[in-house]
Amino acid sequence: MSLSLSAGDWTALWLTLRLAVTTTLILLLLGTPLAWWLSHTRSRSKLVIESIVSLPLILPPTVLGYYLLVILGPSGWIGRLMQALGGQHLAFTFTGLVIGSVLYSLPFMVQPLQDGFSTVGRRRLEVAATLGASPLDTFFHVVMPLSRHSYLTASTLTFAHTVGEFGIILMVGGNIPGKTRVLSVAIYDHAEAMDYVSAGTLSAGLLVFSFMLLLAVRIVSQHFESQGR
Amino acid sequence: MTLDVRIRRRLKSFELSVDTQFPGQGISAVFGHSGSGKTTLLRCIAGLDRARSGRVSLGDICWQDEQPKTFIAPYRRPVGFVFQESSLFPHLSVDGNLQFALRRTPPGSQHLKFDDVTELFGLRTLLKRSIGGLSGGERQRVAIARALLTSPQLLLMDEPLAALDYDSKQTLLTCLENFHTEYAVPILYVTHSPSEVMRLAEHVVVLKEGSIQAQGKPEDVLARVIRDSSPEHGGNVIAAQVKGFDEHYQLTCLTFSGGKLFLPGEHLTPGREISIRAPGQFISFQNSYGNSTSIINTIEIVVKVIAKNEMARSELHFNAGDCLLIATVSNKFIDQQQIQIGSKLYAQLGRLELLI
Repeated sequence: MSLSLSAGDWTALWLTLRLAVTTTLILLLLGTPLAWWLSHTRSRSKLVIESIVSLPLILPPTVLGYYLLVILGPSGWIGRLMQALGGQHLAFTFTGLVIGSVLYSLPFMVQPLQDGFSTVGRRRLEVAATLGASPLDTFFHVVMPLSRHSYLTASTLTFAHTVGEFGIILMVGGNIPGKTRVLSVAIYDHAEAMDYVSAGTLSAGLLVFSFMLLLAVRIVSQHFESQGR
Repeated sequence: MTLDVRIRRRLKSFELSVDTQFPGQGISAVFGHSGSGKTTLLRCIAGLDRARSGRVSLGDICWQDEQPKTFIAPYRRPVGFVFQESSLFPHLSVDGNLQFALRRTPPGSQHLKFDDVTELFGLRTLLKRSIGGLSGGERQRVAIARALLTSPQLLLMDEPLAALDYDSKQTLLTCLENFHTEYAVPILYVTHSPSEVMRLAEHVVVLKEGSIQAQGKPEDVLARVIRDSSPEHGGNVIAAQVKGFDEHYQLTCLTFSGGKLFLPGEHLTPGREISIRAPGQFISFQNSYGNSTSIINTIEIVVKVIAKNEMARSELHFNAGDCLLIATVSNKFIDQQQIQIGSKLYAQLGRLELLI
């Protein structure tokens, strides 16, 4: 088994990392307020929103991919809107992939954060308020430090989940080298073409990478716990 | 300056309905059994709970009102709050917790200095420690110091000693007393412990099922309230002063308005004001002063009330000095000795408990 990658595989690797990092960053920004709202609201709509957030966990990726393709494509309303604004529709584009990944990995970001925020508890927020901290101040200086464990878990899961995505990418992004051809699709391609050496190299790489990532997270969280959170 | 509170808020089985003024200085206690609404009252004053209707103001500054509709967010109220359990931030050290409060207080209004407060609460040597390694008493001292470092115009304390052991309570009470002597910050202190009220407070408001049952000076109010609620629960409180210690017999000598008392053991500082309790079931009476008893505490009393309460037994309410105590006796004793209101007797206090 050779460890050297073809130029195309390097491009796929780079694209995969870009997609995973972008998705994780966007989800950190979107997931934080959503998880905060879910962990503190008494609204009845909470149950509905929670169920929607969890949908990607059980829905076949192809179903989500199909709907996204329809909406983002040239005749979908978002696709048409983009074209009306002078751009192009989003099917088979990197942006389309990012939108798909964000939706597909949403529960992996929101659920750990929601648990983390709930663990911080109402009492500490009240304490911070009586010490003169505004709600935003409290969030950044009490809630976030106390939830760093959850942030680590959520980011890792989101990142790894995005790296491992396949079905939704094939539906929304297709298989355009340099644009939408990520690692998982490349492996599928190699295997289809009976190029088991290339497929094996990439697969082994992903396997080792995933293992190292999870191991690193375990080590870091053990370090947090030994510090008393 | 006074703290004016007029609030109504629906609680589980009753309505909290309070309309009163707390003095703008010294320690005021809010006393009541658990579930009487005292914590909610404190939370409404801090703005942590929102009263359905009402007005809360400290001096000229209004925190909540109806006309015009006003509600100042808790973090904008110059109030320190100490919770029952310390709720320190576990991601910060002792120093970090204290700095958290200090950093959010504008330098111009930092009336309480970091060094003074940490000295007063004995925290100098703890500053570098992490929260996980502190004892319950230490945590609560940090929590109180932290609340004070916001230089509040009012300190609210919700049963701050309830979760602590006896020794930690004593240490903290001393800290609070010292603070109270040195600084003029008014304190509102919620507790269900009569002895804490007697020791700390100059004013007490008694809450029962959300309404004010009595208020005034603790020594006037408390005995009456405790008697009214249930004599077994903690009544027969005597405020006494420590005179000295008898090394030979290992007895602490006390005086109170009704005479002298001896308390076994207990090294206490002479001059200290303490509260002791004489449980009613250990009190017996005799018509004349007898020397032949093994009970060392015998005091002269005057019968005030004879209440027949159950078959063949009566509740005797009597004064020892200006202390009102209660004990139950057999009707046979009352009839044979012709006890009536105004009768002078000797009460033998078979047991004394040090409350604080």
